Amino acid sequence: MSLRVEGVSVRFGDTAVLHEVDLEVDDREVVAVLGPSGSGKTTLLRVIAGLQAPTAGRILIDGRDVTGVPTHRRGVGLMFQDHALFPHRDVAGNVAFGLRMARTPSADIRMRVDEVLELVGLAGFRARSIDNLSGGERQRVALARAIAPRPSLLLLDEPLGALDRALRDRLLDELGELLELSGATVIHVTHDQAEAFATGERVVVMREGRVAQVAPPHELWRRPVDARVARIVGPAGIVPVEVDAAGAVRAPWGAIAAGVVEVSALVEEGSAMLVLRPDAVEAVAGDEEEEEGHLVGVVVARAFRGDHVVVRVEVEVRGGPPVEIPVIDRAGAVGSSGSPIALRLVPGAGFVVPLD
Amino acid sequence: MLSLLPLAFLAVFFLVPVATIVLTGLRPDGRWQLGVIADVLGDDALRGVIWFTAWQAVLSTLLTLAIGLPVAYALTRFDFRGRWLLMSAITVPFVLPTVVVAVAFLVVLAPGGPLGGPLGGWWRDAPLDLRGTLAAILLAHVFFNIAVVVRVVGGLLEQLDPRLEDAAASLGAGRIRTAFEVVLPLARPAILSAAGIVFLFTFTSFGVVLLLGGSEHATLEVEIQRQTALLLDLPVAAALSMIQLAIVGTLLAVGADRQQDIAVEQPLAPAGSGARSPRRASERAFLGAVLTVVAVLLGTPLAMLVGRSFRGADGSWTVEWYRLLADPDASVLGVAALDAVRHSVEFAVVATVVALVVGVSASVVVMRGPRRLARTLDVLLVLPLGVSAVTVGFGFIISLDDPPLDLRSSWWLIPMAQALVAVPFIVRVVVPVLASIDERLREAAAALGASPARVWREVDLPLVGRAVGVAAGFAFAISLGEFGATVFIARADTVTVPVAILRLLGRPGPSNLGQAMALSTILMVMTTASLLAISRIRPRGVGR
Repeated sequence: MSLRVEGVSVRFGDTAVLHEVDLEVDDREVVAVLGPSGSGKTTLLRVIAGLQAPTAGRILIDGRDVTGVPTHRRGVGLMFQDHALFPHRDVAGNVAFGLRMARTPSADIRMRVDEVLELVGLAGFRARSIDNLSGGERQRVALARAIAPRPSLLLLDEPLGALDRALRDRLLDELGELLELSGATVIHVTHDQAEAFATGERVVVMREGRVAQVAPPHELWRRPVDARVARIVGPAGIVPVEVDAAGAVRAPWGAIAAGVVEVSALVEEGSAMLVLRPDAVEAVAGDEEEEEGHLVGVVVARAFRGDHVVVRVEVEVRGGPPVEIPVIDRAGAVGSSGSPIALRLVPGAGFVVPLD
Repeated sequence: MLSLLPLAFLAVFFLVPVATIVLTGLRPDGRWQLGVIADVLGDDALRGVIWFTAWQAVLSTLLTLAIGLPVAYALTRFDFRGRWLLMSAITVPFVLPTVVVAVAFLVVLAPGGPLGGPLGGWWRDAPLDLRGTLAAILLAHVFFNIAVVVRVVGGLLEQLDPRLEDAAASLGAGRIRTAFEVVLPLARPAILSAAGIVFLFTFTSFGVVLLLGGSEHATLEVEIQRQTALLLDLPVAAALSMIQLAIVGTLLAVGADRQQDIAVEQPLAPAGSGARSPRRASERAFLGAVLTVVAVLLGTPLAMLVGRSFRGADGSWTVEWYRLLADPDASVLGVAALDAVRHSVEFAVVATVVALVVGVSASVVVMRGPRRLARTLDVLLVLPLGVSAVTVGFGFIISLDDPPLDLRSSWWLIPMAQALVAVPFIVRVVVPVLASIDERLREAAAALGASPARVWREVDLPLVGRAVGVAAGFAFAISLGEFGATVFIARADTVTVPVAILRLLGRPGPSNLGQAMALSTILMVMTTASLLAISRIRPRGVGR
């Protein structure tokens, strides 16, 4: 089913939580909504589910205006952050709930419940009490409950939010597969960039109640609309630069050779920002250090990440505070905190965006 | 729509009677006359009644706190065998009919009782008759209201994070220092609210003062009943009712923000996280002392009541009094005293059903209805609790006897009065539970296709089911023991057990006294058993 959000605004008293949000989602598309807390992403989900009436705007499902249709007649599947499982029903009772509401014959309910529990890896859990489930099991029951009635639109609000990190990483892969298997159009709200990238074919970045950018994950990573979106999407060094009329970019450490960084179409002549992802710079070996065009900085922090080390390098900028650039150090070549370091831009990986 | 039911019920059975009292007091003959109130306030005897009502309530409250607070502390901070049994046992006196408690204390305080003999021997070489004294009233009030203090204050202490006490201990505070410097200050809101409730209950005390206070002691409630039933002076009774309404209304307004804590707390989950075994000798001594006081204070009257009901006039064991209950000829009531049991059960069943329907729909409106309506109803619902049963009964008599609603001779009047007394309790039990249901459970149900009515049936109802069961148990127990309103309304053919006990006590002779004891014992067993049984009923589909 296709979904269309048209100019939706939500105000609580004097506060605008959503501001003229537009969004289109194709049939069977999986869209992730990414944003910091308070950006309005959960409210958007509640408006789509019909749990929150918009102050202005419309919601269309398959071209039909459902703005006034109550939640229980919208046929959407909804999964909450803390799962909101019914404490007075067992696992099967929770999963069967939506099927019962749809007046499914009880034999069919049994079959479907078994099928869905099998799908989420909880076969044999039918009669278990909700109280005795682990966090990961609850998450699976919540997902099973949401997909059991075969909703054509599935809304997930931080589905992995309450789980610890190791479990999240493990369930994230499964979630992606399950969403595909469900055959539903999916909107997955999260504050976690890794989650958004893992599930979303497209990612909607929200900020202060507005949609800041909609793009596929790799595009968003490489070509954010501005520095603030760049920071929401992931770690980045943001360096002030000057762009001349011909599109040549000048960084604090000198001119950047043509073609090394890409310039956004939104950038005009004058001051701009260069977004450097950790993979857009690399450490230069000792013997090449003095070469022209390298940036020189000081290592201020190292974080061991198992298969690689993330180093934060501070680079001096004339007329402003120093900027910090995250750098991936795979070879373990970078020295400890306080040691000087030379960096080189990876061609084609830096992106120049307009000033905020 | 849902709000119409509770509003209509409150209007007919509460606002109209109270308004009629006001009109009777201020417009005795069709003209406004404020003189009656001035007359009452100018009358030394009646001023004395108001004064006595207030200070006996203050004394009762202080005494109840003095005994109840250590009990609440001991039951929640120390872990010992039988702790949960004791927690439940302490609630029993609270739901016992006032008449039963009064009769039990009549036995205890009689010259031959455990107090009168030794005290009298030490003081003036003759058994002391404590019946009809202030001490009798205070003792019975403490007996009743310890449960309030233990429930309200204990409920808060139960949730107190034990790490706060650990922190105090790690900073060098001993157990007693910690109790006074950490636990008690944190419990202050609960202590104040418990004190408010106890004051309210003892200020409007009726049965205890009527039966134990003798002819010298009268609270406003007793005086209102005396003016109405004996002196037939309706304007003075109305004026007294209004004075009581004004005092109670002021108190309720002052404590309005603490309404939520009034009356009955939810039964607590036996988490017992903050409780630990007593370690040092001093702790064991404290615990032992507290448990002894509780056992003696709560256990003695009831045990003696049961014992006396099986003792003949000559002191031998007998079931004579129980046998006489079934004998119409032995009864002063004109019919067999056991008929009162049947009446009581019938009235209580009807009253419970009415109170549940009104109370649960009112709870839903208070929780989910339009805000202004919810607030209005919330306030209206506490009023019957404070206005007291005698006023309600009196109001029924003088208001519901004219067309369009002539119910004075109707069978329905008694269960309606009892339901009115029970409704505030039901709302106080059900509203907090409704409020504690996670809104997202309802949203999840809606997203899965449940209509609002279905959400109520599938989510709210099963989750409040236990609370509704508890509320029903309370309503039934309250109705069984209701005295203040029923004593006004009951007629010869609709005598309930408490009223029958009152009439038996009013006649001389060992047979009447013996029957009163037997009937009180039966009422005590009925109340306790029904409370336990009904609160176990669960709506279908509730797992736990």
